Amino acid sequence: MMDDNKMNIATFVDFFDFELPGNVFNSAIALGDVDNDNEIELVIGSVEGDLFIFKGHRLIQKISGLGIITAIAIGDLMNCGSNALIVISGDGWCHIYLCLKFSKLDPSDECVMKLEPVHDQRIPANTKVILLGDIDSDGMLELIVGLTDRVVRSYRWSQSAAAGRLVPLHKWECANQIGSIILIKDIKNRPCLLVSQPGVSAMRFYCPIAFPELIEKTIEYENENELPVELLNPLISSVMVGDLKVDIKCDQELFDKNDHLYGIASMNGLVMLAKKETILWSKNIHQELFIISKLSIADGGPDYLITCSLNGDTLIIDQKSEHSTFKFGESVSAFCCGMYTVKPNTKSMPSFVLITNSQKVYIYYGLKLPNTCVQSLSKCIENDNHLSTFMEKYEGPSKKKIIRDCLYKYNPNKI
Amino acid sequence: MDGLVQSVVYDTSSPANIYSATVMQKVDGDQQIVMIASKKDMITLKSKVIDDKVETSIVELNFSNIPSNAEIISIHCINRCKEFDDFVFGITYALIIEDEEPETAETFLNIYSGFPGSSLEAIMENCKTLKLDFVPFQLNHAIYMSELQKNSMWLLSGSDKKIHAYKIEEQEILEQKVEEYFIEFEDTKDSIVLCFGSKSYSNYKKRLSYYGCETGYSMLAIVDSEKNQILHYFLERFESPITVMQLFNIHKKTVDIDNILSVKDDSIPDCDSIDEKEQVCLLVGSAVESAVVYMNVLKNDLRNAITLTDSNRHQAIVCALITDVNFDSKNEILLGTYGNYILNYVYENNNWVEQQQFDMRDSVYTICYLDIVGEGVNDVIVMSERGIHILKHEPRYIVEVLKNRLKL
Repeated sequence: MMDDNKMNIATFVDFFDFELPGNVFNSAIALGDVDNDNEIELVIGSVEGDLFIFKGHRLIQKISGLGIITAIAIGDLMNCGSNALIVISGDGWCHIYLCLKFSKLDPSDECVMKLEPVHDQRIPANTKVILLGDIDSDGMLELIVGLTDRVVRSYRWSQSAAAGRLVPLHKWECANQIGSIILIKDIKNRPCLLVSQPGVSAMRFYCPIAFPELIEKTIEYENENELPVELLNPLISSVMVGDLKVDIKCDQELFDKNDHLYGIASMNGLVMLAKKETILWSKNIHQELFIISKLSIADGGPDYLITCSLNGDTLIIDQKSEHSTFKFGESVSAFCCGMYTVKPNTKSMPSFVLITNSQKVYIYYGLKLPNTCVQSLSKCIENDNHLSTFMEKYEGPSKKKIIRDCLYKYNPNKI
Repeated sequence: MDGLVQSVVYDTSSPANIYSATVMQKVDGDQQIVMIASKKDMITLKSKVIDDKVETSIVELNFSNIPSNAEIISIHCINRCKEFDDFVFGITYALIIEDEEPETAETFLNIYSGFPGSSLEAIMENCKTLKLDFVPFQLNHAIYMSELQKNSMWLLSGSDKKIHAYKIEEQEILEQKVEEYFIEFEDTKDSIVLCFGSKSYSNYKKRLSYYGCETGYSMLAIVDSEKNQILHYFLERFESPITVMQLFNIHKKTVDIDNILSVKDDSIPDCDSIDEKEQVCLLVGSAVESAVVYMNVLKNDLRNAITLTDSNRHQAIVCALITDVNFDSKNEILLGTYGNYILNYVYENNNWVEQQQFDMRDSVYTICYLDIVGEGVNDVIVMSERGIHILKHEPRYIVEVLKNRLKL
């Protein structure tokens, strides 16, 4: 208990869970607005070929027979102004679903939209990771997939009068197995892909059409920040998360608000914050970290790095490298975090989604970092003109006593 | 329990039990909670206001003379003095002896005390230990009269189906014959006492004592404190272990608003006594049946019982707190259940009516209601299977209540 306390325990006030028969790949979970109603749903695909769509506390749709689902993404891939759901199976099928009805007009309408298949296409098999991003600065989203055979491919949705399809754009080959793919901006604000490679290194690719002069490069991070050498094992895989919203309250020496920050986590417990080709800080967590993600916990606040280890310990790390731990207490097979709409017609909340080996999905929401609580009573009194003027007459102890007696000794019958 | 917001949860590595928390009532009206976290550690909650937000943190308390491999069972504290804080803590714990087969445990009672005005740090250092020959359960205290002086005695129920009495004399804990001071606790119906207590009235001349047993017996006695003589004795038998018993008044002492504003009234509630001019009620909760409130026991004995309807629907009732959480100057009953809910009953139109239930998502073991921030408003502190939960009143609602009462 006391050791935990030193670790800074983060807690979730609320959670709920769903049964989820089947096993889940970590890229086969996505949080996003699949039905374009401005609420955020959770989509999970299983190895058994079942696709589950959860909205609030309910499972609203299940689609079966999709093969081994290895990756899912939600976004406006068709560049038509509404989100599509992209489901890719290990054997090379890419299914695209759309919610074809208009978004609900009446906010009290509880009727649930169903997704319908709009496109199926064969692509090379063995997709491992998926990314939707604009790699050529044309303002449209492209689909980027990383395959288990070290290949990265990009596609663009092409719509003709009769039908649309995914058109292959580029193919890059990596030196080693792909951990994750992120899209960042370089010094000159040009988009580039970073593909994490084992041993805390990365490959950088540019779109060859938009930037033909820029060639691919392997980034070996400089060791100026004293990375523990014993942890830089070239056999250890690593994952990344990009495009962090910068914490402007942080030390301005390391980075400023125009920097493009990204996080790296290695399977042997190293967490790093990086910009360009340098590591800003690193931290040894002593856990098997299989995922790194980002989450803005305060409304509109900066992004935190979130890492999850196989034993369920989830770390919430701020950009100054201070961390707090959420102890889930059960081993997990997949994790994702982001905003989720827990109740219809309410604001989405920062949430963690954990999938256990016991075939359950837990959604935790209402995260409280250590020492984040409701506003103090004295501040609320200060904000009220009448009450604060009245209370000014009294000093500390008698003020407290008046509040206490007014609440707990008040005689309701006497006027 | 309307308007209570769950604000923080601290996970503990192992769950609490029903004897895991005690509240220090200071003479200036402030309060502090001391809890057993994860069987091994004693902690308290400290709150500060930083950037207009309340920050509560867990502070470890190092009570001396408790080996690191001990499992702490129960805790209780009393304030011996009315003018200065003079706290005495009692802690019971077990030491598991691992070499032996089958595993056996040695049990101990530690008493910590200081002088009037001693700091908690000083008290924690000054320890007396007594080895017990039974597994301790509830640790409590009670007041008896001898030669017109009121004295307090430590009482401890145990696995040997007895209630033991202890006095501290010349730096030693001495076991006393319980029947010489508390005749009503001599006979415990040959069963383990899970809960017991005593409240004085008539200026400490009389007392009401009760206990509840594992075998379902519940006892209430009216005792002449000066003569240590039972005046009335009532025994009920329930079908399951008695987990909760409490004596209380429904209406709290109130003060007119003018007197509140003049800050003249500085009476501290005396938790050892009960107001016999108000009706005195007895709550009895058990593992299987619905809880029962015996109304006006000084007049009606146990004849007027009101059942708390459906209070057994979330499995066993584990703990109870009788306090005023809705600011109506009337006490409500909060029941903590094994089935994750806190149930709230209020007294309306001569009946106990359920108001809300509060889902804690884990079994509830203790509930306390005290001011941990020092702003005048209390928080509900719950110890559950998972850890320590703090439920706070919405501060804007408190502002509304204050404005209404101060006519602003």
